[in-house]
Amino acid sequence: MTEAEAEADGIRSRDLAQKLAALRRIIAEKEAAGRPCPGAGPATVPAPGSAGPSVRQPHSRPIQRPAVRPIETCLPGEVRQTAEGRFFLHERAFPLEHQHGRRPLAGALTFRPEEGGRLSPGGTDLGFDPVHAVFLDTETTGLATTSGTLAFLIGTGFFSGSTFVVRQYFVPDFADEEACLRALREDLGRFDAVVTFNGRSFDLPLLEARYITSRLRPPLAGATHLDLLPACRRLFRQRIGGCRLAELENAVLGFYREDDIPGELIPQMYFDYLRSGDAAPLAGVFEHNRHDILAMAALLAEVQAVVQGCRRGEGHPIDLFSLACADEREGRLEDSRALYERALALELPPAQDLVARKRLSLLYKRMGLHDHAADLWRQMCDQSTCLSLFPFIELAKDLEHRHRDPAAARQVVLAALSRSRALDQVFSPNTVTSADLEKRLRRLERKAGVSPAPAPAPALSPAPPPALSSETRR
Amino acid sequence: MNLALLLETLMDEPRFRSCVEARVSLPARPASYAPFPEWVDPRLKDALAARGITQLYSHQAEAVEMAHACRHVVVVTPTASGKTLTYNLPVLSRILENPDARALYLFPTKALSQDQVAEVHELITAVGADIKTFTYDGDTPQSARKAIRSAGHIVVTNPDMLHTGILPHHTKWVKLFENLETVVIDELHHYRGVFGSHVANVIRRLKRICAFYGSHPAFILCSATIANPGELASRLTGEDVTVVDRNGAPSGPKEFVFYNPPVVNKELGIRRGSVLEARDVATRFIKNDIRTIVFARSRVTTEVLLTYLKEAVSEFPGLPEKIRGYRGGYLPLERREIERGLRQGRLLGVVSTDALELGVDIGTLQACVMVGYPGSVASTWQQAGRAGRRQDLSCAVMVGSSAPLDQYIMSHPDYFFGRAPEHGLINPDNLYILLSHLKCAAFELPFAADETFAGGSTPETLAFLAEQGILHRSGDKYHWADQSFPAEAISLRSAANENFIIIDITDEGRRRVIGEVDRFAAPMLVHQEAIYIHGGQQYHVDLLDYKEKKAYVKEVKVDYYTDANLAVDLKVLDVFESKEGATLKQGLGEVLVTAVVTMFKKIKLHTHENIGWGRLHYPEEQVQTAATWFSVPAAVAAKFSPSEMETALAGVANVLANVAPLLLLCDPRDLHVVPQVRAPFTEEPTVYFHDHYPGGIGLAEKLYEVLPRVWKAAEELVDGCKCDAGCPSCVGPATELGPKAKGLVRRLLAEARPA
Repeated sequence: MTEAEAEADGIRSRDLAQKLAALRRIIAEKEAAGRPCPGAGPATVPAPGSAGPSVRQPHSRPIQRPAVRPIETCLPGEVRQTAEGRFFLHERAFPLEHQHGRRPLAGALTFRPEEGGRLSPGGTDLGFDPVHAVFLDTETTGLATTSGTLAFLIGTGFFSGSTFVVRQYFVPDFADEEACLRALREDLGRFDAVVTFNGRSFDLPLLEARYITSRLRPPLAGATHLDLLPACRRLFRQRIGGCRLAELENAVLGFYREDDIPGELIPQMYFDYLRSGDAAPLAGVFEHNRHDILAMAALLAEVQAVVQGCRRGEGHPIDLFSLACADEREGRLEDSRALYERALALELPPAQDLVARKRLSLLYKRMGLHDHAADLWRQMCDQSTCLSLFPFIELAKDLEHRHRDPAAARQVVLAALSRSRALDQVFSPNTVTSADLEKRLRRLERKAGVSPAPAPAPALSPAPPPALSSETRR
Repeated sequence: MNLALLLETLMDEPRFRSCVEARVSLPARPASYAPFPEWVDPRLKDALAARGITQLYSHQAEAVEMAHACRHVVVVTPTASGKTLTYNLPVLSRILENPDARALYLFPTKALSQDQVAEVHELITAVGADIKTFTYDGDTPQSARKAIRSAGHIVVTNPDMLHTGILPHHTKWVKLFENLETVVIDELHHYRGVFGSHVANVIRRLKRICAFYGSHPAFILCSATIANPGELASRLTGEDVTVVDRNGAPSGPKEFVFYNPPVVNKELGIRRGSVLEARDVATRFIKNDIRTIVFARSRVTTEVLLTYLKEAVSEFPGLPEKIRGYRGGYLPLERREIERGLRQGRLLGVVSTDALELGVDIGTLQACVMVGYPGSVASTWQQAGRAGRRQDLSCAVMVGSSAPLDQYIMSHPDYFFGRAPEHGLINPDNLYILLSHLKCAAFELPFAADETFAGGSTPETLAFLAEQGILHRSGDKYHWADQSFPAEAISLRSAANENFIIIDITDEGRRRVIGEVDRFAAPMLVHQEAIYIHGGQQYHVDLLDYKEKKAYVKEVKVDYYTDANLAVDLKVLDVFESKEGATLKQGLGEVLVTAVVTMFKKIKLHTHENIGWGRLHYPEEQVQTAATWFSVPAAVAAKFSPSEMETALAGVANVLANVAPLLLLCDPRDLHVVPQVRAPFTEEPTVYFHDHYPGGIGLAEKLYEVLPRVWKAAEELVDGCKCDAGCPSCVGPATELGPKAKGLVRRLLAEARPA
């Protein structure tokens, strides 16, 4: 037994070189057989659907070795050599009137936190001046915001005199990263604000991880950060749905990229470059990154312009509505009220219209404007498209408690019950609300001293919608 | 009747006495104390005194002194010897002295972490200091994580979370890693085999990151009694670890009974079922108000036994409710509730899998009944230790099953009592496991070309990974050069980490989740029309939604249970090595194993007769893994008729599968056997053994080498078995293999010896 125990310890019976050779053989055979190869990781169970390290075509196929073309032969720019390594700087200046879509870049200079900042939580208090801000976007070897992901291309954008400069830092190889990070930190030191798109959860933590791993102090420590993603979500989601940068570019800025490289291909392109030494295909990545930076400047301009327009009451009704919601969330109730009213005065699509009325009515209530609220509820009750019993219930509560008019409240509850029954024909019955209404009705009848009547639907709504009324009569 | 009296009464009953193969009285042991060391903070001393602790047990004192001197120490602690104080005392003292100091506690399961945090909290509250202790695991809300990362003094977690959730994100844990002074690893004996080998590599990564941030933590480990705590602790941590094993805690006397159910059929070598016998023994205890824990070896047995026990005490109102089941698959809240019930004495009996073998606090129980040999000496002592604490008499009854190992133990009690418990074995340098963690480590921090991770072999393996394009060499460093997040794809435990949930739809309006089951077990346990037993209640599975990983069940009351059949297919992908003897050929290589559940049987309760069956259609599960095989050359095979060969091969596979784990010191579940009379690959009668782990963990490789010895042990077992024609304790039941099985197996073992 003891011998066996001693041997069980020596599972390493075949030595390492032999085992590695066996692994190499397996991998080679699998690749020859065209099966996906598990990389060097037989212990890695390829999870379903995960690409992982398993598919590595460029490596497995015998390929024509492309010419070794370093980045400086593919793009104009400057190679900087420091004690820590070398990196490549590519820079392009755009005149202020340059347009990314319909907004000139100069528009970004009009950004004022007290206006454009209204879309970000606490945004109006930001000490933010676009002249001293840097726009930042990274291209990386993966999506994890940890030390295992390299930001190999770091794009910055800033205003300089009568131009907007896009300056891109490129890391030619891992060993050169430190040189690049040091130079970048020095460069970023002159800005007191940073603008990103999703930087809060991606670019900034990733850079921080890279700096810490290189034993360097991270940059931009005291800088104000404006993340455009949450701001654009608040402002544009209602109008355009998705809020990815490309979607915003198309729908909001009216800019359409040509031959853009999809983001998910970028990591592999960098790995391919590391292996082949051919940087030529990366020119497209530089362009992709440059567009991202320009789009951020244009979006900043757009946000400012939309907010300004809304304040003048000229905005798109949905934008007015979105800004009203943001103002309400941040406690700017008067501003919010004015925007809701303006949005409703123009024409909102039915979905937003109902939500806006509901939110405005509750805002009125919160502000003590009970008659305004009641008027809105009455309007909503009369709207055949209103599928919610909310206005009925609010109106009944208002009549019962504020006006102390149980009889009138009872009429509203009866109307609600009738609407509820009609709705039940179409949707699955909402028993909770109905029971609640019945309870309310009985209480009101007690208060009003009315005998429980088989009340017909009262004429609160003069013409019930035909579709619903036919169901009701059945 | 109290326990002493009951035991004497039982021993006076002829039927009981005739089943007792051995009864060993273990004497009480007195306590040995030592004073608190000088350096312990007075606040801490006062808080402990308020809880009645005014001095330490001698082993505690020895351990805390070493921890205080920053030496790595492993404390070998039987149940109830105050092990938590051996690490809480030095850790809390240190933090009181220096509020920047940090500690990391590792427990093998989430349940244990929660237990420990509760206990440390109590002590901290009593001390009245601002020491923050948090669990950081999969259940920790996202919103709380940031605060824990920067402010937690003691971070309590499990190896899996350390592996995927902490180490890869080390830049967010700078404060912890810069100031980490102590790493506590409790339940050391749990880190064996595949799991232990993975965890040893996770610790390598932890130490590597600590070194990067300039800290060099000391390790405090706690282990149940195993043969080699010092060696295991040293291999797990890669440090020289001092062993403290002179136990100063007192314990009461204990009666240990080996109970072998009566033989009901001598020809077939069949004994009465251990489940029924265990029920009878446990019922006697419970009816006499003796708090009892019953350990069963599988989830299904746990449930069946729970049902039986509740039935057996049903004539006593209120008693069935005082018996509960406990196993993985119960929801955390339900488990906490059962643990509380046990601690507070509201429950009288609990039927559990080995889930309760670990240090979950369930208070004092008096009797322990084990259904079958728990599989290792260490486990047996752990389970037996669940009954009996400081002073009073306790008792442990081990009921033998027909399994060969059980029968061996039953007939050789000296083997058990005389033997040191097993070795905890790990192999952190297993190439598959090592490569996995080298990837994770490279992801966390680039590797210097001459850096060592696991002894001298690192540069070679780094070069290999670079050649595969997973790492990229730049300057004198290797960098991670892949888009994936390697830790996510590497599980420290079995691959079955995607659980199916079980939903009770008896009341359509009030659906509720009653449990979960892992992916590989799902088609076996909750297939369509299965009877799933949970908490003693039977449920009929109306639908198994394989894609959504949900099983919908309804409460029923039926007199049968279901048993699903697994069909296994095996394909050889590659041959690494082979050797050809005159009487046996051996091979080693890689195989693809496909398992699919094809049908199930309905089996009547109590009589166990087959009363129906059905077909099942679920996707196959595939594992690509290492295997070894042997085949019988034509010249030898010619001495057997085809049907003889079929029986002999199945019998040889059975007996080898029983013996191999003993010699390989592995869990029998980690090594699977597949006999093929006409194997397509060898075109000869063949028996395959494969690792039940993707990529293999070295068992097949090892077996390839030691087959001659395993073969010899198998011959000895068959020759030494007292049955006539083969029994479940040797070659398999004669009822299944036929009356000639034993003779045929002996012939084949003799004719086809490995070289």
